[in-house]
Amino acid sequence: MTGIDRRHLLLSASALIAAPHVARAAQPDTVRFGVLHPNLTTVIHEIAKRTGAYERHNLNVVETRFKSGQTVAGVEQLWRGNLEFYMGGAPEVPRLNSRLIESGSPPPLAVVSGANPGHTSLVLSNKLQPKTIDDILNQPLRIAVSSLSSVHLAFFRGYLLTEKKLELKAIAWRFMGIEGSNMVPALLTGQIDGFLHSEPTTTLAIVNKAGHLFMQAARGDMGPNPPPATLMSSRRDFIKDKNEIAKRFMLAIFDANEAYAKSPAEMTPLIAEWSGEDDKIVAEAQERMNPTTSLTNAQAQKWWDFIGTTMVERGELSPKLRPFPDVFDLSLQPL
Amino acid sequence: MDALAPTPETADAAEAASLGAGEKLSAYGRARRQRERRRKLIRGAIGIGAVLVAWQVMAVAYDLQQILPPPLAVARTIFDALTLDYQQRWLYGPNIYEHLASSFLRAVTGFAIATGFAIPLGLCVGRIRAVREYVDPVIRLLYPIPGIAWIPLAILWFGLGNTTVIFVVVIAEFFPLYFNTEAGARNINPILVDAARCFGAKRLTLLRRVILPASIPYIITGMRIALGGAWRMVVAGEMLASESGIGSVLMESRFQFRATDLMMAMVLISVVGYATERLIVGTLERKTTEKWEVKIL
Repeated sequence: MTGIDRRHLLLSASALIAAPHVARAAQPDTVRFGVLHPNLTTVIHEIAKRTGAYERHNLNVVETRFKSGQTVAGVEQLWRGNLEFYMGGAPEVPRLNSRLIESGSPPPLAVVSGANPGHTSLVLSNKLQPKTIDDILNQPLRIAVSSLSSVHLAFFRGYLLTEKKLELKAIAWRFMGIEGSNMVPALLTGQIDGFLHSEPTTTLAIVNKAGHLFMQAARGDMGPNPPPATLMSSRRDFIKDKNEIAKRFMLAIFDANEAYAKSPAEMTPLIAEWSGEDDKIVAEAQERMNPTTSLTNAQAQKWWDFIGTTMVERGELSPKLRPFPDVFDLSLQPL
Repeated sequence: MDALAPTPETADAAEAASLGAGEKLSAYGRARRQRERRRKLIRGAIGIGAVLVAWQVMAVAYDLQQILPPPLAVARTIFDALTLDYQQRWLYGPNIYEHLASSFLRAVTGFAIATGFAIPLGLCVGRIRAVREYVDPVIRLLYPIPGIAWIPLAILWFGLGNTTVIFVVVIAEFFPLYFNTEAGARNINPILVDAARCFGAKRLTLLRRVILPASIPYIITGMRIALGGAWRMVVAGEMLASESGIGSVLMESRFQFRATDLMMAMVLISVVGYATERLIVGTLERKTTEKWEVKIL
């Protein structure tokens, strides 16, 4: 004990006890994030990554990418506990929760945020130049959607029902499931007459003169205040057990929102890299999109009124499913 | 020769052929055949029953209903779909019969076209050395490409819909038919051919009376394998490139997280595939192998 007094001994002991906590605090928390890629709608994640937002909030975000039309795989992975957050198409989370509610279990997932309000475009072949949608509703058009369960089809169904008082089956269109990347070639070669999809497919079709933008929900063509087309979801057990980490993740996303809102033009090269599209295409597409990610009660309710209720009527969702709390959990925002 | 490796199908064909020989008219033969049928039926039922029980126990004991719906729930869904009386709303376009009919037509059309190409070519390659030397390397180079790998190219060539799916079925089913026919034609006992020639048989007669009947067990085996494969390819094609058919129901039910519907589609594929095989290949077998009493030597 020579050379060490009681004071030093106590200090050393305290340091030993505190060391693991200090080390743990310095170590970033891992969040497994599933994201549609390549896709413009999910670019907020790339912005968070590239602007250092995740690091600032002491997070190590491990990304898993899912292709367009494969949101179902992402939601399955979220449900199976292999992801903490998923960002992509929308209707899959309420569908999964609905199945669980039907079987008497609590809903395992929650929609926590949203992006890209009204990010649904109806692009028609150049051969079709109707003045209003009523001119073509009775024509046997072949319209592509990424799957028959696509959010854009659900959105369009909501539009028909709320704005036109029409069921989807009352119109003469045939909807064909085609991967987003195949829509423009299919339109160019006359295999389809149009498509319902988001960006960059819409801009690609316009730039390549494959078709023209006939309707765009974001500019109000499918009704006022369109709901978000991209949703961010998480597991309820994660939100409850690791609430602090979940909140930090959302804070990082809000930082990315700010970075995008400050200067969308500066983000163009970054978005181009994330989406694999040309800078010019992205710059044009940015006029039709808003990737900032947040969700208010009113927006969530609008999503439910516009898309959710038509899904209930179609039988996709159980009538027992309620938007709050079975689908949405907005406790992570605004922070 | 690779395609000649004995398979359960070839063994069955040989057994069926041997049973036909000499025993057709005897009471003992009939009784024996009945006994064997009964035995097969009982053993088959026990096998299927065991799988169903294991399935039910797994689903219930481990609470897997969401990812592995119990067989009773699947059976109820099948019943509802077939009687068009759905407990839950039908979300997959036309009714199940239209989907099944689309898939059936695609499978049978693709199979018929593949048969039309592969059997004559297999016979030629098997019997004519010069043709074999030209054609065989090409076929062997194309053979390793999986049928599903042709789908993107087929979409590019034919667009989405029937033609693409049928094309992929033809491509995938050509090979088992071709290899089996070629093996059958190549392995005919030369004594049979020489004997026919001694009796003055010319080319067409030789083909009709010796080569074709002698190759038929192999051809039937190829057809049996190809028809099963045709269903596999139809479903794969419909999942990727069609908005109708049982494959599209399968895909859509996944998007809806309805595992019961998904398994309903799988069971229906199995049942219709089996029935198609019995109908087409079974009938052909009865009218050829069993009637002519030919067997694999």
